[in-house]
Amino acid sequence: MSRSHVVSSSELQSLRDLELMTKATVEGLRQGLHRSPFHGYSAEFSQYRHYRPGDDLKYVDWKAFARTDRIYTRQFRETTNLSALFVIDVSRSMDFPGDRVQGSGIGDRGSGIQTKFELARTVTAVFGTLVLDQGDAAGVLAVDDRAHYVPPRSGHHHLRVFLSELAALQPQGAVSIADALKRASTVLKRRGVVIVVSDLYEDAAALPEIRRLARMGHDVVVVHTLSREELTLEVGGAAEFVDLESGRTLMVQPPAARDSYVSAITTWLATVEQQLRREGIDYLRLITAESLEPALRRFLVGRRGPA
Amino acid sequence: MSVSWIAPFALIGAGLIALPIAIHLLVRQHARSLPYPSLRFLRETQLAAFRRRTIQDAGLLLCRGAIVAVAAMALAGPVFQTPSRTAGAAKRTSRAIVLMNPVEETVASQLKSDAFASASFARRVMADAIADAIRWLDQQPASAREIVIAGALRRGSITDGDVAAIPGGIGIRFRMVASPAPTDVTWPILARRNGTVVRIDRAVHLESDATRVTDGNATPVRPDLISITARPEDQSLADAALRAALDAGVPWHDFEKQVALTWDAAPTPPSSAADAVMAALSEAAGRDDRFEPVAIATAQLDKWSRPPGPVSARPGDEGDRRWLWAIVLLLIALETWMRRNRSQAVTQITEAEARVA
Repeated sequence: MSRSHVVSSSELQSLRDLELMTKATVEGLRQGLHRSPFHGYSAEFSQYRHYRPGDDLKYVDWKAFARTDRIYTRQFRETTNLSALFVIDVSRSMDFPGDRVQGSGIGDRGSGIQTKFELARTVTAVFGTLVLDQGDAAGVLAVDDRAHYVPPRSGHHHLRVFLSELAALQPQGAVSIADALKRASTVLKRRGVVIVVSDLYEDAAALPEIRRLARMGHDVVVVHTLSREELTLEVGGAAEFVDLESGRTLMVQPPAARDSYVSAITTWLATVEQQLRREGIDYLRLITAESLEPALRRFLVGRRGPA
Repeated sequence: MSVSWIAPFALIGAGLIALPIAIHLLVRQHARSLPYPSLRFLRETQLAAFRRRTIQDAGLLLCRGAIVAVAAMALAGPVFQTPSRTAGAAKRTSRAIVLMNPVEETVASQLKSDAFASASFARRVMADAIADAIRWLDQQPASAREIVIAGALRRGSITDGDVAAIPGGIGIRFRMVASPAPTDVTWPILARRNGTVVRIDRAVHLESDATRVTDGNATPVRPDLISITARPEDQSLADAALRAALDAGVPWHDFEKQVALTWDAAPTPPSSAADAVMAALSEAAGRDDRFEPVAIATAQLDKWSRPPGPVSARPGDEGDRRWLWAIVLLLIALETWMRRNRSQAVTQITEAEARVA
């Protein structure tokens, strides 16, 4: 599986100069770019602490001992590699606007991305490629009728496995993203980055799980994928709206329902973002009709922050 | 009490009851289906054209159906036949007067005087006049209907066929006015002379109450024809034959054109007319009178006469449709009231949903 199947080379090339950094400390197995909760003996000085029996004498700061008559041991900040797990929503609601909607007044997207799921897959592929390119580990987890799980691993050879699994995913499931998040909390043994890509329509079940992951110490990023039509209800003429997941139907004339709809969904988006940010969870909203590269660049640059 | 309809075919319009239901279903089916990620932020639009397939307001549908049904019944023009109404209608008579001679119009005016509605008809052929009279009577309002045939009632001027063409519900009366005018006709008979059958065209002078017959030329005819055999000088036989032929229903105008008393016996004796003639000949064989009436016998007229049948609604009636139209107006008012109540309820529900949302 070549990476071009899920992400275009132009999208990748434009973001090559960036890395996906973590704002939290992560527990890696190897030396890496990211802060570790452990203090080791690398080049970057971190702090002094009182000498305790058993400390290696070569790290005792004798100059400080001479000045203060107390024995201090030098500590150095340890950096480690990042383990990123992408949790992807594969419910049917992500398959919008699909082919069945074409010709109904929904459509006219400038980019090649057609559905929310394609957007989610593209973002995951971009982030995953960046993570693997910077020497970190990336894995993917999605749950529909069964679990699709690729454990986070590093190395370019793993990129092939990662992208293959990503390309095989289809938005046909009827299972909530919350189930995938529950599973993520059990499979992640060390603190890492969890990137949740979803439209969050099952927010009542999903948000508690996201908070739980954050409180477990993971650096959680929520990528909220939406289509422009969902935000504006740009549908021509009255129609019977069919819920992609439940099959429930509703007769709606969009011009009459648009104002209240836009107001309701705007309020909901603001509420979701506010709840996540309050928990220190990074939130990235992506719209299918909008250009992907500037939004990702802003997001990645924003996460660099002070190391 | 029974109900009859002036225009029953209009009841087909009651089938229009299915129209609002069909529209409901068809429009519902034409609403396109649009897959959407989530309906949580959408509210149902309350449009009549996009309601669900299930009947949401059975009362309103029932009311609308009743409007269509009652309007169709009003167009069909019901007539409720109550006993009092039937009795009232029976007291009035629609009378068609068939005149055998236009000069008898004065008689017609006398006959019209006590009729609820009347008209006179005079045609050269009796059957045509009777047909006109029947058509006219069919257009009259509910009333007793009768045809009065007025004229000299000459033998052969009315036939059994003419009378049989009159529907059973129409009464028949005869009014003799003056006497038949004297008429000269040629009366062919067959006779056997010297062992040979010959045709004799006799000149017959028909008067009001007697027939005078003079002899005519004899022409040989085919011997295999059964014929009225009589001596040429036997005037009474000729008269009797003429009377019998007329009584048997041979139309006078046809009778003048044909050789009436010849017929082919093989294979079977052909008609009741022949039997009647033969019977008359037998009866007259022993008589020698010269006086035979030319008017239709009174007994025959009595046989043809009958009173009017029961009264029923006619297309000309207004019927009771005005009551049904009044009901239609009431139902429309009720439907308007129900519709407004419903829209107010929907608005309240929508507002409540909006508040909840």
